Amino acid sequence: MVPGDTLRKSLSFTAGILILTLTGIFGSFESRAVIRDTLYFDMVLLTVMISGTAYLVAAPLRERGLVPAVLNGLVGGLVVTVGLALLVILQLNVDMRFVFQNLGNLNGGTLTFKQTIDPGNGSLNGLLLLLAYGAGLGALAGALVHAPPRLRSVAVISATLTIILGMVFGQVQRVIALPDALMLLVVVSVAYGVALRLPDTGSPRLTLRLGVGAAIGVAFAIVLALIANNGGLDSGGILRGSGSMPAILQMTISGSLPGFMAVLVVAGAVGALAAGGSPLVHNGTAYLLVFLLVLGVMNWQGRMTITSALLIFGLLALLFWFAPLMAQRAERSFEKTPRQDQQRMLLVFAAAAFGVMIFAPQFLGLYISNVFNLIALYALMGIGLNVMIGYAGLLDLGYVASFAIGAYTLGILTTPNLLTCGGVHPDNIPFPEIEATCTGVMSFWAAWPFCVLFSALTGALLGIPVLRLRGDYLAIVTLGFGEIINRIIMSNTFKPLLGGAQGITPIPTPALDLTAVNDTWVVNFNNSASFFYLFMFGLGLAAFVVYRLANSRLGRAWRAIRADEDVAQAMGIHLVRNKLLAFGISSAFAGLGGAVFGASVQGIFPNSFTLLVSINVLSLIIIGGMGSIPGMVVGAMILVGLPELLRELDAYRLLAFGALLVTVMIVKPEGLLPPKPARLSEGATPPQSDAEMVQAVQAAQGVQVAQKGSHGD
Amino acid sequence: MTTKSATPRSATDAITRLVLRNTIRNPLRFVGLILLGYIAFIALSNIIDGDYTLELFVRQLIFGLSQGSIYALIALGYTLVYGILFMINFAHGEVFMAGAYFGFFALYAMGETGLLQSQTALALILAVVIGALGSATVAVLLERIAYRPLRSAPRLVPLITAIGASITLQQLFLRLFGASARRYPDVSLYVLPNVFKNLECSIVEGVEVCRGMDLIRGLYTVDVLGLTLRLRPITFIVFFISLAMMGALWFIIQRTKTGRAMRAVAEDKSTALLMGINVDRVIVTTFILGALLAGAGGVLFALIPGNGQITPTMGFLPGIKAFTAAVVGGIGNIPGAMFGGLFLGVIEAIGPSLLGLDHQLRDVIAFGMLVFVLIFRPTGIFGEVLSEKKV
Repeated sequence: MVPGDTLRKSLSFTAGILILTLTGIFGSFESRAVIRDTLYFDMVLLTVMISGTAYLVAAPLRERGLVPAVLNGLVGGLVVTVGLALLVILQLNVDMRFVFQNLGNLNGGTLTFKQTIDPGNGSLNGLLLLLAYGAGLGALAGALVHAPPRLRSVAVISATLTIILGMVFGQVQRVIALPDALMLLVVVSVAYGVALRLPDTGSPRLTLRLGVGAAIGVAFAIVLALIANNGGLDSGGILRGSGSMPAILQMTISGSLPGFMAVLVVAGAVGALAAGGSPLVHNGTAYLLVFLLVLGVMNWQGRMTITSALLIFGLLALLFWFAPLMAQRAERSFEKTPRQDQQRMLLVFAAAAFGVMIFAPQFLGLYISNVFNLIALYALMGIGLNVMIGYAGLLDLGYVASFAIGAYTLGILTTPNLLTCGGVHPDNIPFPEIEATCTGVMSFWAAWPFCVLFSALTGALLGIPVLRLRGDYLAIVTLGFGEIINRIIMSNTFKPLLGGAQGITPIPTPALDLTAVNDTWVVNFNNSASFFYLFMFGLGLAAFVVYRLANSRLGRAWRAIRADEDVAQAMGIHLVRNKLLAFGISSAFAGLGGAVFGASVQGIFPNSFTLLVSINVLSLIIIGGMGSIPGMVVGAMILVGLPELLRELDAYRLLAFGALLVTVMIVKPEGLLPPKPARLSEGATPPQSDAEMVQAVQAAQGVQVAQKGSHGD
Repeated sequence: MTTKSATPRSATDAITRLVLRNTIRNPLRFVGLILLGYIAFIALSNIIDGDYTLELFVRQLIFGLSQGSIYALIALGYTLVYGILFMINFAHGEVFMAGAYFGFFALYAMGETGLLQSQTALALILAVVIGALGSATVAVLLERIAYRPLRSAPRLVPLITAIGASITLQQLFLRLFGASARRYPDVSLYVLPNVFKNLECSIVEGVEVCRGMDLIRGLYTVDVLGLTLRLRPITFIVFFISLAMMGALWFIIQRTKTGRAMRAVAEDKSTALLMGINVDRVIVTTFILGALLAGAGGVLFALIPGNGQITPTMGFLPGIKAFTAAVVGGIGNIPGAMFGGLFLGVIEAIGPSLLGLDHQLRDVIAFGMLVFVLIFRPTGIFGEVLSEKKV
């Protein structure tokens, strides 16, 4: 019943788990709560390790029925726990502190279920518990092999997200209050429901929908405002609920009723539009609403309790269960919409999304805004590097060089130094005269185009010597460039200009002076919420430029070079010019990123410009899916955003990162969101697989045969 | 890129061709030549001014050779794997680091049991062997887990995997053995007290005792050919041990059946398979050979006084530089890797003071040299022109 393969596999997984244990992973997460006072992350880890092993061991036996699967799962779980138990006993007898410095005392920790064992007087309860847990969980995981696949994946995804939410509770708790979230949900759902029942034949469908949605929003706004003004927001009032004060509802009594109405009108319109939108729009709205609701629940509960965990899990499970079904329905109704309407609808929706984005940082708070800024920065650089790697096929491991050049150009141009003060060291100028002497100092707005330009130029220049190199040589030379730049900015030789190890501080914060229009309009970009707009601008610009470039003559030339240099040259593509353009454009985006980054941290520190930046950007391209712009954003969210939220797991961040790279490459080498194959002609869908290709060809032949037949008649 | 040229008719013709080839037809080379000339000018003027003395040169040359022999040991691993799989084993620097760690724990254990004090030479050899074996284990696991499933994947995929594996190994060692530096024990190995009668003397209970030459930590002033040099015996030891290991590798590859199988696989995997060669095993052997050299190199490196602090990130820079060395020598070429390593070590040791540069810019010299080599000889100094099919 238990094939040798099971033992072999369980043993190798156990070896990996033991190595992880030796790094002290359980001790590190002992006090990291997922559910307050109930579930800690170390237990989650142990559970994942055991059930993961058991599942992978049992999975190949799916065909053989339930009993072998359960049995093999049990064996897998048992092998893991026996290994762990042996390690605990080994630690009791051998002092391993010198070698494994992070390994705390396993006895009395997670592995013994907080019980102290003592083989001397026979108290082995902790270890027995561990073995029982391993066997039981293993059997359960083995049985899971036979669960319906969709149910299984929904459960796993929801549970994972619940755990992640539990761990980032403190950071996301203040985003939205439950009454606000519920109100938005109700308005959107009502508008959605009404829009679904609208007559299908009305010709100006879009206007009708928008009108109905807006009307629903206005109706809700009036009713809610009436309730609120009659004490509905007092403590114990029906609109108040518990948790923190609902910020949007608060607008009804704080005098900004028009703003409140606008929010609800937008919500109503979004709901009405989503009813006939494309599947992406449709489900995007659903995801957004459920996540807002989940955040509302977290705000209401104040901390992760068992109740809130179950609630969140339930909400997420419902969402993931129904999302594909809803998408199918949306797809069907969307296909019936005339094409012109489709495009207009997407346009309106993009405008609505833009509006949401504009207001987002005001609700998100500084910390979350900062995370979004980092995501945008890395997505921007990913899009830039993608030009080189994804389109032109030039592997660049020294992307950080262009990033650093952009940042340092900003630093040099916006602060007093040798260059901007006409060759005099600013330390030698008396303070009151600095402004008069250093005439070269620019504002951020004047300086950033120079950063982009200079970055692009140096990028193209660096490209010249490596033009003829291919593949790995190129990789190593660009890596060398990155290191050279890093050494140069750190060195004392260039300290007068580049600041050496101290870097350049402070960089003045950019300010948008609109006093010419209105006396009070001065926007000072001095915190992460305001920089959000700059980063989004950069990201939007990069996405737009690259999107347009990808389908241009230049983009096609790059792809031809990537496919085969010699053939591309034979087809009349100018290799040098196109490659240099790839280098230049790619570096320009890094320069832009560097400039905004330098301004946002208000200083330029050489430690920010290490090889790790290049590797991060490269990895997010690879993991997101080479060549796809949404892939970059998703990649940045996973590789930059998630670790940033899980800051406390810093010790294991890079380890997980490396392991993720290896795993993704082995399991899904094309990335998570690979670009769609280019459509050959309007309306043509490319065949998905060989089988479909064959079908398509047969169908085409069938048509020909039929035509011949008809000619014969 | 090499222009097919008929035999030049006259000397002037040849010179014209040479000039043309380096200027108008290839402006890049022209710029490179000007830069090279400028560097040579600075170097010459430094020598003429007397800022750079012969003594300094010899000292740096010897230091550079020992440093370079470590680079060469690592570079061989890169070259071996590249020769067979055409992939950069980015994690090879970490294999080197692993060797240093395993050697450290071996030395520590032997220090605890007293073997290090009683049988120092044996203990040191054992440490090198254990370091090498530990590295080999890491490399075998690396190949099995990370590289083997990707053997037929597009070329970018294994490279990314290798980067991931490099980070993973580094972080794993960091978490397992602690982030703080581990310090190699201060070992002294005294030899030949009868020959070096006036070295390492101390007064023990009123009697002067001379213990001979300290091979590991000694630093002696020697007069050779009128030059007063301060030398460390360890630099010579590292150099010669490395040479011996490289010789052994050369023997394995050229003279044994395994070596022949390796060369066959490097030439053409599928044909080798048809000839009854177990390709998987040959690839594993290649990884093992490279890792043995790197692991031994790791221990030797850490034994040199001044390098005794080992950290999980210590493998990165030597790894990158060794790859540079392999490219300079011509990647996939074994004598090339040896030469490239030594060359890089020497250039790096001599460069900063010869050019009057800040010592911090040492690494810039190494990478700058790589760029020059690639401009003038993209296949490396010893490299053959690989056909496009292979690359």
